[in-house]
Amino acid sequence: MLMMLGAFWLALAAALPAAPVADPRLPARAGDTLRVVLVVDDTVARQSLLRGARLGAEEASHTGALFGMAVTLRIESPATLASTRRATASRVARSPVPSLYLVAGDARSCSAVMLQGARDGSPVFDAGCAPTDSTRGGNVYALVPATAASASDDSTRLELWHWTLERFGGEQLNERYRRRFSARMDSPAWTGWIAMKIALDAALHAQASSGAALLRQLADPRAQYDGQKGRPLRFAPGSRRLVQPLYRVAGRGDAEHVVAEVEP
Amino acid sequence: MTIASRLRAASCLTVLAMAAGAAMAAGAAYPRSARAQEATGLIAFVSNEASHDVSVVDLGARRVIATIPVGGRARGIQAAPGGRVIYVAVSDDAPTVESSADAIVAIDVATLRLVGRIEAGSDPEQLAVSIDGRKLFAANEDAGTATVIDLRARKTVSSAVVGIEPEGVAASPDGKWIYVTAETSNSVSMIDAHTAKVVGNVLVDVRPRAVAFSPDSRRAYVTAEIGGSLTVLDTRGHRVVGTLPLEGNAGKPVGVVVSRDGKRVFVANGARGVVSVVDAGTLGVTQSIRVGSRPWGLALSPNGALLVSADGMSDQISIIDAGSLAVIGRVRVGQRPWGVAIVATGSRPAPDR
Repeated sequence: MLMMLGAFWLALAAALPAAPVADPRLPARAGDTLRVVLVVDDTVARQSLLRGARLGAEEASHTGALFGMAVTLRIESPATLASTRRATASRVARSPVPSLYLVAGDARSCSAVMLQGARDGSPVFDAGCAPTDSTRGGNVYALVPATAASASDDSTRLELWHWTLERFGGEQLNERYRRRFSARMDSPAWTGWIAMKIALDAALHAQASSGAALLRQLADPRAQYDGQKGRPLRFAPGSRRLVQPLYRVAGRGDAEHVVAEVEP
Repeated sequence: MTIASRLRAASCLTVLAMAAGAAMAAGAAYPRSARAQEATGLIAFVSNEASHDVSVVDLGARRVIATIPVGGRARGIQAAPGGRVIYVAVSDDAPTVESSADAIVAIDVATLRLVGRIEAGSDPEQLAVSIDGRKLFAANEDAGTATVIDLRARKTVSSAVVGIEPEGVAASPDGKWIYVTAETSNSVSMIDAHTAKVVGNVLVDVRPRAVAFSPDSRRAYVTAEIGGSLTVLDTRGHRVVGTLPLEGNAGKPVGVVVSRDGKRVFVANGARGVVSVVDAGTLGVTQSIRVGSRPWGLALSPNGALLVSADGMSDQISIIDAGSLAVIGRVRVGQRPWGVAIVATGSRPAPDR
């Protein structure tokens, strides 16, 4: 059965980004659809982020189906997003408005997506945008801490996730990712995965998938999320940045290991 | 042959690794209360995740009388109705990899022998036996399913899709429902115990672990490890009626049991080393009982007199007088105890030496 499931997901990977993510074991239901658009340029972390988002989308689809909510993940480059936007505008907005944007890349691309998200009234998750001087709108939520990149030293570095984590479901998540992609889950992959998980959690609690509903739910100070890190994750009210533990990692390759958990 | 004599005989069998040397009768440091007399004839079976075995503890004598190797990582453990068989979920040490170690094993209480091994899908973690004793429901953490096993045929008969990372499983006392929690989906799936079909799902607090029903089956209580809370469900409408924070939302609650009269709910808070006592009427915490490190599994004795916690990082169980709420003993067991099941043998087990 596991092999069959693995084959199914591999086939699904080939079909993405156009196909909605659906678990054939669950009955199809007519209901709401959570539409996520991932915009990413050719950064080094692109592949991991895509993989993490795909795993997150598959799992979100599984959970969403329990509650009658479908999940789609559309992957765009900054260039294709712009052309899609023009085409959509010329067709008098026949395409549904995305529920949420997930973006990583250079400052220019990110700013464009954030602006588009504001126009659509949809939240934008920053999954690794280059710093910019421009003011971020109230619809932008950061999944990546501002200090992660600068907190490394010669022998260790800070990571959002590591493939050796075991506790609080870390081992299970790492194994699901490894089996799905034959790769180790790294920080960008976790970021993609948690983005989809938070998006679905917000939609299920809001009982709606519209951007406005998600924004209301994300702004709820009581909202908390589980990233398999052993403590609840929350968005800081002021910065709208995800408050989460980080991991100080030493070594390289197979010798990598977490030497300390860094308090949020 | 009486249970006592069977236990005496079992102590001589080489297949049972006797734990007399490891049986640290720490309980000797505790005064014997009159209530402890009710421990006579009560046997606790403790699943040990790291040592891959089950410790058999005489709760009256407060010592280990046998250790039963089960060939894998022992986690979920339940007594079948009637208390004659103990079922243990066993898996390998690599989650999400289906292996020959993944199974439900059956222990005969009278002989303390392994009497069955049932394939139960990938990575079975917790389980529940239907009230009629005919079906066993196991959560397959890796597969997002609950496997349904016909206990007479000892084979899987169906599989129900539940949330991601399913964990807690419980059967309602009225025989109608099986509830399954899912850690990643933050959900509880309600399965019709007769048809084995999922009839509904409900969102609960973050990272639900265990679930327990009230004796009248009207309520179900679900612990949320990351939410640090206890969610109360109305089983008639399958809906959440309240969420109670525990230990400042920082206790990482896992195990939960309900007293025989339904008036108290006991919750093991792994991160705080305490068992919370919740008044089921007011939904307020009335007391916290200090136990060992990382208590997860909880079990009540059939007569309701004793509560036992599996203190995972202390390699011990704590024995609590469920009336006075005092800890009356601690017994060292195997490595990283995970869960507990208690049966009444009807007679006091014989000493092993």
